[in-house]
Amino acid sequence: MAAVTLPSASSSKSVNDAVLAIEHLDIGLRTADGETKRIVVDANFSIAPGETLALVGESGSGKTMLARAILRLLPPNIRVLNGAIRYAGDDLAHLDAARLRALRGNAIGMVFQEPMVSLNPALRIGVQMTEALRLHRGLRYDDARKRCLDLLERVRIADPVACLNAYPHQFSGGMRQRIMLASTLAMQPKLLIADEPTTALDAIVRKEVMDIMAQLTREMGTAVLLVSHDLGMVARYAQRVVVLCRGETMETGETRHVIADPQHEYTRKLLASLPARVERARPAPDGAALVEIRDLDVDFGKPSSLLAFWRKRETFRAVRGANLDLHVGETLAVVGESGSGKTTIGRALVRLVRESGGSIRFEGRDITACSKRDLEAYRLKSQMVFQDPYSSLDPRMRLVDIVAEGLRRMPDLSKQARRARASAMLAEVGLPGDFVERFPHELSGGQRQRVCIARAIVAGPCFLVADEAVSALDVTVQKQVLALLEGLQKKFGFAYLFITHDLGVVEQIADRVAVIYRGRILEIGPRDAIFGDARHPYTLRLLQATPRIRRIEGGAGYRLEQHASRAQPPPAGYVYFNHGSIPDQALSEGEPVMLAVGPNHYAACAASAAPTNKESS
Amino acid sequence: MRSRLLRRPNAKIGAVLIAVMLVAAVFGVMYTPYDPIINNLHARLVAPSGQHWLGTDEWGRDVFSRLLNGASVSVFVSFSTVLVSVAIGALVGALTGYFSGWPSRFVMLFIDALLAFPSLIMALGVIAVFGASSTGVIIALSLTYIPAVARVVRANVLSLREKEYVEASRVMGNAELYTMLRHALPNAVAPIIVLATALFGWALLAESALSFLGLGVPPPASSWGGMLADSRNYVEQAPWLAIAPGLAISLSLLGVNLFGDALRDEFDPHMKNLV
Repeated sequence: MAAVTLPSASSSKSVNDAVLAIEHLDIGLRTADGETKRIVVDANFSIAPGETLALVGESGSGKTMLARAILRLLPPNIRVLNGAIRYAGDDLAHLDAARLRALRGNAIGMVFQEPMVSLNPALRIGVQMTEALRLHRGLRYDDARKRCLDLLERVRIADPVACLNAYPHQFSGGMRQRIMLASTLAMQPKLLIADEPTTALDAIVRKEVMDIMAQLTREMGTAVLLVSHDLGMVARYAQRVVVLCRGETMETGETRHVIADPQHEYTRKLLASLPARVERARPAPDGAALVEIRDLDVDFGKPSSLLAFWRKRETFRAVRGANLDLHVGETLAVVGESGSGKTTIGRALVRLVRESGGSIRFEGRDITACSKRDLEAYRLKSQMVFQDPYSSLDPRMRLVDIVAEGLRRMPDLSKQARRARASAMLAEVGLPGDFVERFPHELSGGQRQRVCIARAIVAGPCFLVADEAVSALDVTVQKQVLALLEGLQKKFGFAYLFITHDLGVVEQIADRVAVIYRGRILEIGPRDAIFGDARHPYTLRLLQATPRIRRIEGGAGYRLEQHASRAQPPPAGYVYFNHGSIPDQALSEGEPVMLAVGPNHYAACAASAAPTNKESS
Repeated sequence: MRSRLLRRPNAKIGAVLIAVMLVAAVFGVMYTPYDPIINNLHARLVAPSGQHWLGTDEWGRDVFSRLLNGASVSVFVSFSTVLVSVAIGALVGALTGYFSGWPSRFVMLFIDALLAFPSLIMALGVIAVFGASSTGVIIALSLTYIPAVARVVRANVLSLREKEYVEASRVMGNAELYTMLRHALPNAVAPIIVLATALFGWALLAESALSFLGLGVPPPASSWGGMLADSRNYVEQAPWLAIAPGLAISLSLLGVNLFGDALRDEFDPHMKNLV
């Protein structure tokens, strides 16, 4: 582990030199009642040329509205009330529409969060990319095209010429975001506004995109306004930071200093909410496992045409030969990027999808081939907590009825008894008293997730599948829900299969970690072994791509840490998939084997290379 | 919600027009100033007056009484049509939306084939089988509207099926049918209500059209469409014969449509928060 030093902020920060200066800016939301609510209050900051400044805050902090106000991209019921947005001698808040339009996409560029929708699917990349150059610079198509090819090369698109002739749907999210970046930077803007540019991307892709963005803006001297909720990313890429909470500026300063020595209470709370590794005294798993997953395959059929009843469906294998044990009372984290099959394993475990091969044993009984009665008994012992707190509760039901429904399949319980136990369980998860009669829409995201947890555990299950259960929550709320999950586990002793893409959360709560990629489990082991002594190259890349902020030992402050890369190149023979699309040749040599690399620690390895690698690692 | 709904001016106008129509329908059954069916050849084609508010027709029957009577026929037929088509359509839509697989697809294939027929032409065919009566009209119109209801409900249930609370119910071990009836279908009620209102208007119009063609309620029972058809020969001598049922049809339809639009705006979350 090594502390990372950031380039220090440019010394000349006087307002005159600044690319952009926000002065006493208030932004108001006109509500349906005709009242005006201030969602940004007295914002003040400036960005120097070439500097990256981050707006950090939780949802509802006003960071996005503040960023969008610069180019007047606000919804119709939100507007700037007071203050000024100074750019090159103009006040953008009061500039006339024509002159503002001349700046948009020209001197001030913007990259949006959702790469899947920010490119027009009906137009070729080339047409979209050259649009701004032709409009603002008056370039002919050929010249604009040359400039775009140059930029595409610089954002490391493999075949820029082919890219210009392609349509957006032919690219992955990360590629699209790079293309967006290229087309925005083709204008050589003075300022780039990046609104959660990588939030929708997986960790490794996120790092690639952010590295490219940081490099290009540095080369071009472009100032960047980075809007993000991710403190780790901000710490890695932004020189200065503005911390927002409910529209008010809590703290402004150099990122390094703010993290090392937070001045404001809220900043301290935010930093303290970040997941951190805590020592866990857990006995090593021994004896028979609660759940044994063996050689599990799950296939999905692609939708076939309406009339083809008889045609055999094409299939996609989401999970390939997975082997996992879940022991009594432990937390096993399944980590992987989107599409890796981690969710599918969990869904197969609670019987929401059918396996195509392999077996799942629960307390020794194979539940993939058991009687209906055994399956019903199993349903009471296995439960699931879902990701999206906004769609996991029936909007028409009261909380007590939602939780009581979890007891419906319990034999010999009167309706009264069910409601009483549901109320008690709601109190247990921190929703006491009159919460029971409320409806889901009256609750916040964190409270809804508590209801989901209550519903899942009310019947006393042996294990819970938590599918990204805290991913949609703000860090401060996430911390509370994680604490609740851990407390409940201590009290009731159930096991968690914790499915997530967030390594920080994994490090905090997992006893063991399984890393999955493209349906294959690549490495599995105790948490400390995975985080301290990862063997598989993919695990290492994942760890390196995740910036982490750690408390300085014996101090109140924090610092950015980066996973130290291994000195030696990754050993040959580990089954490894290049992060493009070409599987490593090791795969063509047959199915991988899990090689023991430490106590309870295994890594996937090509069968042919397995024996020789044992010592070299 | 009701008070908010009635704050919309369109909803107010619609509600008033619908109320007038319903009151007329009730009077059509309970009490009419004159008998709407018995001829009175002494008072043929009398212009509107204090005695006959809307005049009389070529058989001397009081137009106002026939209008009231026609209202009850129209409302009864339209209401029954909506009830039947929503009940069957919602069930078919919910089942085919919730349960995938070839039986579902086969049923939808059939529904789509029904949808491909022009509704009035199909109604004509069905009435040819069942005969021109109010039951025949109800069956014919229901058959033409079931596919529309089924499609709308199916689309909604298809997306509701993917909601995590539906999955949660399945994970709890609840039976599929229970989950569908408890969690999926009730959350599709809003679009069903909006559609039902629209259907009521369509049925009203279609019933009038069928009666106009002589395929609705058989004479001498009164119906707005039939009155309109009979008036054609006397348009120049007795224009009130055409104006009265024409206005009744238009105003009723206007009322239903205005109310339906307001209802849709109220339920549609995309329109809600626009100031």
